[in-house]
Amino acid sequence: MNAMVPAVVLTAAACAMTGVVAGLIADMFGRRTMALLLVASGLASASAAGIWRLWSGPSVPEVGVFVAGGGHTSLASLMYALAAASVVAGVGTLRARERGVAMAALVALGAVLSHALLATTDVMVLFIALSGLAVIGYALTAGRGTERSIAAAVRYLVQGVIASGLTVYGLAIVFGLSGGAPDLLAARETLAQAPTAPALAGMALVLAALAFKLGAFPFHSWVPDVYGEADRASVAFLGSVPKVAVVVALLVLLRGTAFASGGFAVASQVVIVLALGSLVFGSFGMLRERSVARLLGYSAIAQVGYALLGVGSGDAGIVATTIFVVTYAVAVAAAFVGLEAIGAQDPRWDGSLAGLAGLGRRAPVTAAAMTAVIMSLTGMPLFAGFWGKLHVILALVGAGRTGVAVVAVLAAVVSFGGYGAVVRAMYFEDAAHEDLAVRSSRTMSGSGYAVVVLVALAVALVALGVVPLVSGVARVYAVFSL
Amino acid sequence: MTLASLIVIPLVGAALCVAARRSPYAVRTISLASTLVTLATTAAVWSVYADLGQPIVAGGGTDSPFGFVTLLADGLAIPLVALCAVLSLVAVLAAWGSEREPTHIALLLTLEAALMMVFLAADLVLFYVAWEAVLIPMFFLIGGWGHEGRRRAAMKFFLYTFAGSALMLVGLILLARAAGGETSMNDIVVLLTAGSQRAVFWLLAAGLMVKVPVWPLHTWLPDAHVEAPTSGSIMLAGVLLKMGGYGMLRLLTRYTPAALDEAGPVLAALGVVGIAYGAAMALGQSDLKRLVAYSSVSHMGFVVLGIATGTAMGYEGAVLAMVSHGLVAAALFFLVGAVYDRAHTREMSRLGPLGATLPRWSGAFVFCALASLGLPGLSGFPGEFAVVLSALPVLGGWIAVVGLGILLAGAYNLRAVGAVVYGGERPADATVRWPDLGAREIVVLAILCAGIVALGLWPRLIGDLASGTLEALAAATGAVR
Repeated sequence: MNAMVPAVVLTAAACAMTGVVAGLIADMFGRRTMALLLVASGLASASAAGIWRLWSGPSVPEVGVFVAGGGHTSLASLMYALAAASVVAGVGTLRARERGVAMAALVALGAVLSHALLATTDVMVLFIALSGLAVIGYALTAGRGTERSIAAAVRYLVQGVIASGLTVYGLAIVFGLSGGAPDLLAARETLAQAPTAPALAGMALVLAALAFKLGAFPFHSWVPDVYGEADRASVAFLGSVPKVAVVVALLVLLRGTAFASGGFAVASQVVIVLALGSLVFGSFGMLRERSVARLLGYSAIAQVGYALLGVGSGDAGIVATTIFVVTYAVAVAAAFVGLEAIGAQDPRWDGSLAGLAGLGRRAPVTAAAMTAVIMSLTGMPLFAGFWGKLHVILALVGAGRTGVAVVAVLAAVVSFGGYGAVVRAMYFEDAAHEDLAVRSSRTMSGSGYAVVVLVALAVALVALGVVPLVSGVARVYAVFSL
Repeated sequence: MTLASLIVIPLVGAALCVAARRSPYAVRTISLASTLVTLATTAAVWSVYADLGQPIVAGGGTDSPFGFVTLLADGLAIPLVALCAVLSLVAVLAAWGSEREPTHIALLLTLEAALMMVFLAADLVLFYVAWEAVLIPMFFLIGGWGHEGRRRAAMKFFLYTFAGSALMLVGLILLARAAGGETSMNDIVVLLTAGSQRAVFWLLAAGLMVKVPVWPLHTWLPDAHVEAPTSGSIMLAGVLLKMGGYGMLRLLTRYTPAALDEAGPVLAALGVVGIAYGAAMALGQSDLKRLVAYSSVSHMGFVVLGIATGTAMGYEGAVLAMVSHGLVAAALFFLVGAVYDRAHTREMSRLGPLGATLPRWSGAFVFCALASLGLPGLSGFPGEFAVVLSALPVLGGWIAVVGLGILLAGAYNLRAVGAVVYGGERPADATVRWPDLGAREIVVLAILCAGIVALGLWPRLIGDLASGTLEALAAATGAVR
């Protein structure tokens, strides 16, 4: 049984990579749509492989450098599924790009690296996965090919390299203190007894690097640029899958160290400060944005704040953080798939809020699905996002941080000023002067892919919002407990 | 199962309305059928409760397969459930013939389901979910079907009430934690310390007071009520505001009795200020709909005052006042909507004199204005009278302020009647002749006016139903004194 465990990670990676190879071969024969769908089906089968092993038991940390089983497997399945969704949704855009299939292949590789990051217990693997994801983020952002997207990508890369440097220093300290054991799980035992000051320094450096990857305050400045300039379908991947992996890596990293010993209680304080800063900057930043993608970029900063609040809330926060990050990942992927769908249905859309006017009548299905996504991001009940935010607040109150909980719920209210603007534009504003018939006749071929994916994800968000109400949340815990 | 059907039937109706959106006839039949069946089910629940005298419970228990879905109908819930069922029927009838009618009606039915869930929820999680769920259809109703300022009003409504309920969520979580993670309302036994009880009380009260709305948290109300379509105003004033009073009676009296007792004078003062302030503002309006909106602030002040007394009589008065205001405000908003459909203005000076041209409308308006000012024999009187009686020992000389509010209520209602029915500047020989109330409008008003008369002549209709539950709640508050 135990010997089989690493095979789960490898099986998924193998499925994804087979899809990539098949896709690249199809691309050589000029069958671009088929190539993209092959990459997506590779990712889908990786997800299915995980689901097949979903109930294989609790996490098994002893074997190899990867953990599998239980929550890790469910999270990995989710990540592959979202990666597949972003590729399928992007078919319309990607097949028009010269290197479209290569970009899809990068998404698949990114999914595998995210899985590695999620499941690893090894310091080296952690570092390689983080660096690899940084390069993939750079390439996907620049892949749109516009001057602004390349500028955003370069800015992202430069900041990312600095973060990688910090990671190396931080991990070196952790590595040294743990007596050279590369295994994180072993390291955290020794770390708990290590001298406080250097251990704290190492932790601070690693924390800074991960905060950068997450786009948390004060390392958030790249987020709106990348979200605003990259291909929408690429952001559907970049904004969701690596985020799940980094949050879980952070949890694994801090779980045995930050919360086990008194000296590291400081780390959780730092995390809470980062979280509150992200909440405030993100929520208020949303209010003045007129570009929907940049607005969602600021929203991503705020949402990371919630994830970090969960991370900083001790043991009760582990399940809360996992549930939150799952609901957020699905919602943010759906949001950018939705933008892809809107853009594909109306290629002249400039990405602005004002350009959404009248969408409720022009494209009722897309608009309704987008509304569900927005409501989930806000954290309204009956949508998945509610349970995520609820559990974070529960964990905060449980940790005795009621004041922080009040700030967190009020930040959600502020954020509706931004989210509500999207709904308001779609339903309450009338399209100014455009001839609707002309607009809808210009629908790009391939928009159907994005719409189907959007609707599927929106249905998932509603189902995840309603089912726990009837079934109780215990079963949800069971699926995602790490 | 009967209780669940009160939520499920409107939802099914909403789904069918969307499915049958191509046929206006089918949509109207479905909407009428689902609201009438809900109303009949409510009547059945009412009579079962009246016979048994025991709360009706559905779902629940530790090994329940339904998770958080547990429902309860008692003497506090049933009057409001009945109000919701009646006003949903009225609102649906008011929405007939509107633009994008199927979606409009589907949203109203969804709203009905969410409101039913608020009043029936016997679990804190379900209660909060329902509480927030109410916002979504209402947001779209205001924003999609409202008047000129609808976009701003919809956002303002959502943000204000969301801010209140977000704080309420923290209060609910603190409460559930103190109860050891128990969320079923009946199983929660908490003995909170004075300090934590105060924190829970004010967090919960924040959300409830925004909804009522208690002065000075009322500023969202005039905009939302004025900009909402007629159907939305009916539901907003008639049912949504009652969520606040209901929540106070359901949560604050039971779980934070000491803090409620302690905060009694503050709540009473806010209620009294609301009564006088709302009435004074109503007197100053020239827009008929805004006048009715401000009168809601005044009437809901009585509800808060009744709850602040902590006595069974005050609670009964509050429930009676809520049901009465629901009927009267709905009728007034319906009448304002009817005249707006014809005149396309709500400025009182440009409407009248309507007495000669729209005799049926004018008759109904005078009747509802009299009910609103609290004429004995109509529904406005018994509830507010009971509140004033129960508040007398608490308020002492300050009761004069309430008296001022009552006087002002007479003034603004009669001023409106004077301006719209008898006075005004519209030349009597104006070229456009407006048709008087049609059959649909008369049916709606007949339902509401019958309720107003019935409750005015026989307040024990609600009083007997609610008294058992309310006395138990008052005993809980009184025990800490």
